[in-house]
Amino acid sequence: MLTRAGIVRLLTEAGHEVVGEAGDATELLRHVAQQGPDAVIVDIRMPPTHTDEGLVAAQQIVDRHPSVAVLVLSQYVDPAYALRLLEERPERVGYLLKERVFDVVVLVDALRRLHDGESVVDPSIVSRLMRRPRADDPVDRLSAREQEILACVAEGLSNHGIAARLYIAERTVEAHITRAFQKLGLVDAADAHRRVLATLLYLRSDSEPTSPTPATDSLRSPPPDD
Amino acid sequence: MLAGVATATVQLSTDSDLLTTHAAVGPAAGAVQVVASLALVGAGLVVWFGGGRGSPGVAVLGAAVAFMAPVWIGWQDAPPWVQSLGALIAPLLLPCLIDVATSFSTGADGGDRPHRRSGLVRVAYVVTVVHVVLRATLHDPFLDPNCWADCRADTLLVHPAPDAVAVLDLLWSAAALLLGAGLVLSSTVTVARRSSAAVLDVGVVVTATAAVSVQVARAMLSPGAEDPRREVLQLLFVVEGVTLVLLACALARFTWCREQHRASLRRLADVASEAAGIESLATALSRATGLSDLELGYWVPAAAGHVDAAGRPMPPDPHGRDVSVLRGDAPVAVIRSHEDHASMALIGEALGPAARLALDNERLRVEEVYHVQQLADSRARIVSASDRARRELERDLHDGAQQSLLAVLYSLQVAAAASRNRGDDAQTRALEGSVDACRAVLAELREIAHGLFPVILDTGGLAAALENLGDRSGLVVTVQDRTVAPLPKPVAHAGYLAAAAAVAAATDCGHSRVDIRLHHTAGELVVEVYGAPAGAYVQTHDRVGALGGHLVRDDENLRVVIPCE
Repeated sequence: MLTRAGIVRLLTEAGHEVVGEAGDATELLRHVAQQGPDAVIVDIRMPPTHTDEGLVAAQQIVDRHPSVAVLVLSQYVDPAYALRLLEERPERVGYLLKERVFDVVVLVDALRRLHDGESVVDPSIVSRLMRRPRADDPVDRLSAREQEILACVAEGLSNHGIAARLYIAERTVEAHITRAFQKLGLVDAADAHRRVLATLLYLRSDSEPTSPTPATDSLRSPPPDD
Repeated sequence: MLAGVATATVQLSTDSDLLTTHAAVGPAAGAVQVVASLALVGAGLVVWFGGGRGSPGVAVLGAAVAFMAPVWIGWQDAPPWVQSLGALIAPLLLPCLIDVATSFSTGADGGDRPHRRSGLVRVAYVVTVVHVVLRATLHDPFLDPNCWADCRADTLLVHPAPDAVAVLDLLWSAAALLLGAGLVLSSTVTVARRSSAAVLDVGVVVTATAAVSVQVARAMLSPGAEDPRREVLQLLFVVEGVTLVLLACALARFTWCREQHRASLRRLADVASEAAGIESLATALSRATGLSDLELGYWVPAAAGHVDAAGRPMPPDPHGRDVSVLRGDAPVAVIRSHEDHASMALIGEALGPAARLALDNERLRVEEVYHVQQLADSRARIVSASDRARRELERDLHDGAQQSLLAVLYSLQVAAAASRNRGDDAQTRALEGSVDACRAVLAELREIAHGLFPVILDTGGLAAALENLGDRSGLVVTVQDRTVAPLPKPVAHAGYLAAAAAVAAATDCGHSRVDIRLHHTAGELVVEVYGAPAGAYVQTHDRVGALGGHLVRDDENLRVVIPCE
């Protein structure tokens, strides 16, 4: 409740229009259908069980309204939740930790990126995945720069966005990405959105390269040989 | 002896000059008399010798003698007192039949139990005796216009009073009607209710009641002496003969069935002592008695009731048809069957000491099973209560503490922004420091809440939760999931905590890799953790044990098996 009021205030002050507020999933879906907003911000915890109802509602919005950007706020640093959302539709979806959105710059930036068709994955999740130990870790074979750029890719930034954040030329970014993907055995998907998911799935798995086009099963790690 | 009497009377009836009985009307009626008499005598003897020294045997034999009495009334060469005795005995057929019918509808024929006559039977006997005595003292056959039937000198005659006799006969008809109606009513009620073992044998009750009804009809149609030549009365006589034969058959069948049960129960004593170890006592009992749906409930004082062989409480039968088995005065068990509750009452009594001992031994075993079951239930309750408490704590942290901290964070950020706009660098730095501290607390809180129980375990399943555990741990964790169906929550929780304990132990030991495999076969979840260091795993043991599962471990591996039912 406090969070919602705070976000509404922040967004209004930043010059955005808040067209509706909802207390549960049903109300939210009705608002989206009636108002047709540019973006929706959903808390993952909603009544009645306060576990992942918000995520389910977000998936429904993604499913029914392809043009609406969806930003899920969560307190769980669990890549599985972010992946569930991205697998539904990699573009115009975001997963951010709740506390981050009180930074108005972060919030407005995330909404703008979503509106432009990018994905947004919370940096905490990406950094946790990057740090994750792997057997014979191929990520260690990347240079520091390449690792940095891979993290940006996983956060959902476009090449342009990465270039702007790291103060380098966009072509340099492309070169780094190509090299990094080669080292990891990933195919650089032409589709910029797909590469976010591919990167996250790769980081989540255990050293063996995953297919860049994700199947539901690839959420699970490939089984070790018996 | 009685058979001899029967044949003699039948012989007499054929060469009698006077018509005192239907049997003398023709050979068919004679045959009915012979067959019904012999059948009743036979059934009476069978009940007498087969069913202990209970009264139904006496009543059946009494009915047989009373049925034959009209025959020897016409025995011309006999001393007059024999004929008078015959006249005295004949009306006793009615109360004897009522006695038989009620014996079998009140369960008084227990064999070993003393026979208790119902009020109806006592009234019937008293009324009949009063009637025959009064009639014998007042009725002079020579003054009777209908004396063609029993024109003999009444040796018991005190004072002839034909008018009084006519009134007496009318009263007797009325009394017979009332008694008959009373019996039909009580038989209908008990048979319709069929409650507990109240009806020993429906066949006996129905045929005896029918025979009584015929008697009543005869008394109504022809008060006083009846004319055997009347066709209606002849027809009634044939019907009476048939009902008496049927009654005899029902009595014989009942006695035979009861003997079968008793014999099988005698065998049971051996069966119970031999087979208790191999098959269940209930199986042995049901084989010996032929009751296929037989259930046994054992008395468990701690349960304040009966408990089945698996230790589950067994509520009492709503129809009250449970048969209690006692050993001494102590309750041992109840036997329940819906098939044949008439013979059920006998099982309770016929069980021998050996069978009772076997039941009591089984009862002691079941008592142990019950206590173990209670302990398992209580463990499961404790675990689920602790899970609920964890879940509530997690929710309180997320929705209470964390929300409040978010509000604080928001205010701090608003204040920091305002201070930045004012250009107050010192205050801005202080506020930004607070913002960072607040973020750190939030992150810490998140970790605590997650450690209680990851939400994803309930929403994403065990494998997803374990992968997540891998993401958070500082070592390589691979998860191979071969479960197909979603797992019950308590099973998933126990599996998660087992794997989490192993991963935590591996982290403490500085291992670099843990491989987890999940199988779901034959109603069991198997969690195998390769690379789990040696440790006590006390909590895991408790949790898995509470679900009836177990834990196997060797130097580097942990295997947890949890039943999913």
